[in-house]
Amino acid sequence: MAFTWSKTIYMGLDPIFLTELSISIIIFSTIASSKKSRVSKIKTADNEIFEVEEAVATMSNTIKIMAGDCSGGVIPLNNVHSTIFARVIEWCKKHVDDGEDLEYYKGALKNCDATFFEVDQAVLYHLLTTANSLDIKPLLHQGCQRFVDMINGKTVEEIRQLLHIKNDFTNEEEDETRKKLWSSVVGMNSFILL
Amino acid sequence: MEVKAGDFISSLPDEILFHIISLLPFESAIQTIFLSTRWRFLWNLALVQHGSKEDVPTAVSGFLTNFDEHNPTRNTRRLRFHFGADGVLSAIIAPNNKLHLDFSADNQEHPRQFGWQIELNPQNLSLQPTPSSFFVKTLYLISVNHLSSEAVSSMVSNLQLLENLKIIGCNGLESLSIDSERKLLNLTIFDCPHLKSLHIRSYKLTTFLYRGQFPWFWPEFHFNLANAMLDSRKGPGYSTFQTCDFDRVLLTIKNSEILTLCKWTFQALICPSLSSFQADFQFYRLKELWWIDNHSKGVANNDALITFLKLCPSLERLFVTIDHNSYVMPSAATCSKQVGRYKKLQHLKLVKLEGFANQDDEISFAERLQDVVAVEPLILTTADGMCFRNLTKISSHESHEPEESPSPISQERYSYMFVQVQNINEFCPKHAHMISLYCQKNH
Repeated sequence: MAFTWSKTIYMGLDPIFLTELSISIIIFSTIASSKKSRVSKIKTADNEIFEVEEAVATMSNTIKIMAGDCSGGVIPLNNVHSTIFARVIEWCKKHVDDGEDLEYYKGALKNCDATFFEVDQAVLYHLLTTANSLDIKPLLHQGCQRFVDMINGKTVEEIRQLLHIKNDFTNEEEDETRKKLWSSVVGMNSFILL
Repeated sequence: MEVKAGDFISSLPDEILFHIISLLPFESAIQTIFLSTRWRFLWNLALVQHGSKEDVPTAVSGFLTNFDEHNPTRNTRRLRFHFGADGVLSAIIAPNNKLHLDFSADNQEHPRQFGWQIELNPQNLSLQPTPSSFFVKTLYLISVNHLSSEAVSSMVSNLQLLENLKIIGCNGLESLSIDSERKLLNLTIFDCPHLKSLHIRSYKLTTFLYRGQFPWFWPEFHFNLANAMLDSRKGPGYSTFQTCDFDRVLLTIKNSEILTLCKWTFQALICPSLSSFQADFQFYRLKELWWIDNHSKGVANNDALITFLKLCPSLERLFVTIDHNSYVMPSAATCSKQVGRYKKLQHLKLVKLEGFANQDDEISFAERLQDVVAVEPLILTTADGMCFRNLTKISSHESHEPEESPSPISQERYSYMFVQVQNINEFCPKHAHMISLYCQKNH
C-alpha cells in the first residue's frame, strides 16, 4: 500500500483530486494498518513477552478469553515456556486463515506441517500439552495425529520400543488382561475390562 | 513438569490420550491396552456426573446414547451419578448388551418399605426412535430402594428390547409387579428380604430364578418355565396362599427341565395343589432337580423327597442339599398325596448328596432310593462340598472287602462302601442353579 506523493506529480493528474484521493488513501491505510497491528502482548512463564497479532493469538480460545478479561494489558501464561510458545505461534501464523472447521485438519498431516511435527517426542509432548491448555483444537488434533502415525499398524512391542514405554505388567496381569479382552470380543465390536 | 525420561506419551493427560486412541483404527486401538498399566487404566475410566434424583433417567439414557461400541473415544463404560444428599448410582455397560445399575452406595440402615411396578411393554412407543445404538438386552438392578425405584421404572420402560431382568438385593421391596407381555424371557430375583408379593404379567417367560422368602405369587398369564429356581430356604413370606392360587404357580413349573425346590414348599404348597388335580400330575420333563432340605431334630426324613421323585419319570440328575438354616415346617406335616401308579426311574444317573449329618443318613437315603429307581445311579456324597465320596453298593457276599462304615441297617441286604473321588468335575458338573451368577451370595 506504499504510495508516494511524488508519483502523482509525474502522472500529470489534477492535483486537487489527487490530494483528496491521497488523503483518503492515507486515512484508509492508517486505519488498515492500525487494525492489522492490533497486537496482543503475551508473557510466558519465563517472563518473555511476545507481541502477537490478535487474530493469530486468538486461535487459542484460552487467550481469547483471557484477552477479554485483561483488556489491553499483558496476558500472562504461567505454565507455557517461551520456546514452546514460539513454536505454537509459528504454527498459528501458518494456519490463521484456515478457518475453524476441524474437518479441514482431519486426515493425514498437511505437507506444510509434516516437517513442523517432525520433532522429538519431548517437544511433541510439550506441543500437545500446550495446545491442550491453550485450547487450540486444530493444533492438538494434528499433534495427536503424529503419535497416531507412530502407533498405527505396529505391534505392542514395537510401539513400546518406539515410544519408550515400560511394560509394567506382571505376567499374570498381562495374561488376565489378554483373557478378559479376548473372551469379551464379540465380532471385534465389543470389549471391556472390568 | 516431571516427565519420565523417554516415555513422554504416557505422561500426557488422559483426555489427550483418549484423543490419540480415538484416531486409531480399532485393531490398533486395542493394542494400546497392553502397552502398560497406565494405558490399561484408561479403559476403566468412569464418567462422573451429578444431579438430582429426577435426573437419573436422563443421565442414564444419555450415558447409553453416548456409548458407542465402535468409537473408542466414547467408550466410557462406567458412570457414577451422584444424586440427592448421598445417593450414588454406578452404571456399567458390559458385553452382550448388558447394563448394571447398582445403587448399593445409597443403602440406608432401615429401608422404607415400597412397592414397585416395572413395565416393559413397548406400547408407549415414543415417536422418535431411540437414538442409542446400544440396545440393552440384560439389565441388572441392584440395591434399588424406595428413593430410586421410580427413576429406575421410568428408565426401564424405555428399554424395549429387554429380555433378561435381574433384581438383586433390594431392601425394603415389599411388592413387585412386572409387566412384560412379550419380551421378557428370563427373570431373576435374589435376596430381596422383605418381598411379600410378586405379580408377573408375561406370556414368554422361560426362566425364573428366585432366592429369598417365598412371596405370594401371582402369574397373571400362563407361561411355561423351562428353568425354575425356588430357593426359599428363608421360609414363607406370604401370609396366606390359597390352594387355587398356587395352582397357577404349579402350572408354570410343570414343564420345567431344571428345578430347584425346598422341601417345605413341596409340603406346604405343592402337595395341597396336587390333591386338587384330577388327573395324574407329573413333572414330565424334569431332568435336573435340586432339593433343599433340613433334617431337623436329627431325624432324616426322606419321605417327601421320595414322594416327589415318583412324580419325575424323566429325572436324570438329583442334587440334595441339607441346609441347617433352611426353614422347616412347624408341624411334622407329611404329604398326603398318594402317588398311584408310577414307573421306576429309568434315567436317573447321578445323585449328589451334600450336608448329610453322617454316613448312616446317606446310606439310609441310598436304600430308600432303591425303591424308586430301576437302574443304580452314581451316588456321590460330600460333607463340605469339596471332598466327594462315591457311595457304592457291594454285595455282602464279598465279605473279605473292607467295610469302611458298616451300619446295622445295611447289613440286612447290602453293604455300602465309600470311595474317595479325586476329580469331581470329571464325574459331574454342579446343578445349573448352583453356578448361576450371584449364587454364592457374595454380593
